[in-house]
Amino acid sequence: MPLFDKTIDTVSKSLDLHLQRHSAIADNIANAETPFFKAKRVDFEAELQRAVEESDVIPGVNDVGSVQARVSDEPFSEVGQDLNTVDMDREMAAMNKNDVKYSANTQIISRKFSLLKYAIGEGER
Amino acid sequence: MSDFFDSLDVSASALSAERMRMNVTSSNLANAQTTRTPEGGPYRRKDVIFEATPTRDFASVLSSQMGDSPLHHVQVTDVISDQGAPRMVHDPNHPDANEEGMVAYPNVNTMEEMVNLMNASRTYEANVTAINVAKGMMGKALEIGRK
Repeated sequence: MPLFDKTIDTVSKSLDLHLQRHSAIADNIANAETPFFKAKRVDFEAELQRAVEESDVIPGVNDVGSVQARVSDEPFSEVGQDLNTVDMDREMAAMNKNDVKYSANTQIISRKFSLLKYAIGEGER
Repeated sequence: MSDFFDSLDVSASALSAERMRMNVTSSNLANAQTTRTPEGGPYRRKDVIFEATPTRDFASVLSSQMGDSPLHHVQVTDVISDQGAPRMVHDPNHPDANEEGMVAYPNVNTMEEMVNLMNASRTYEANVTAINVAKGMMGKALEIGRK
């Protein structure tokens, strides 16, 4: 078993993708008043999950690091009179949700590292 | 791959665009009764035109070529004058009154401007929140592995 295992790879990929989602949401919020702007949504949970499961079965086939987020137009937004599809409430909620998830991911990766440190130091704190 | 500073740049561009809108709206409110301008005639209501422009620096062009969707800066591309008819008020004693005693006042609707101002202010706040969230995320990322 390698020292830096799949958890670290998966969580760092997840951090990257959450950052990408934050950029997309910031983009939507910035353009909330721009006519004809189409809100974008970033999805990756299903892809990441599949990559994790598949790399369990056959190692190296579907690498976690190569997961790409799906960027699509926000499907549920209402179109305003200026043909802008940004829903500010939805974006703010999505942004906060994304932030909490990002924090959770940094916590996980930190714990993982302290566990490794603990093992390296032979259990000394 | 987008980095932290991309989202900060985008939010910052929105902040400056909203500030511009606030300035223009303030100018409309301030000049709601102005009957003389350098161009002649009453003041005309101004409005800003926002445009979403894809970020054009090297990194974002590269990443959009690689399939990432590009981010959009907000830009105020134009400040237009509202060509709506001026508000005519009967006031024969006013120095700018015409032969019929009518004075042309600016086509500024105070209520409309107030709504615009509130809208700009809320959008500004939303973008500040986006910046703060990005800053929080950066802080969290820097704390990884710190004891």
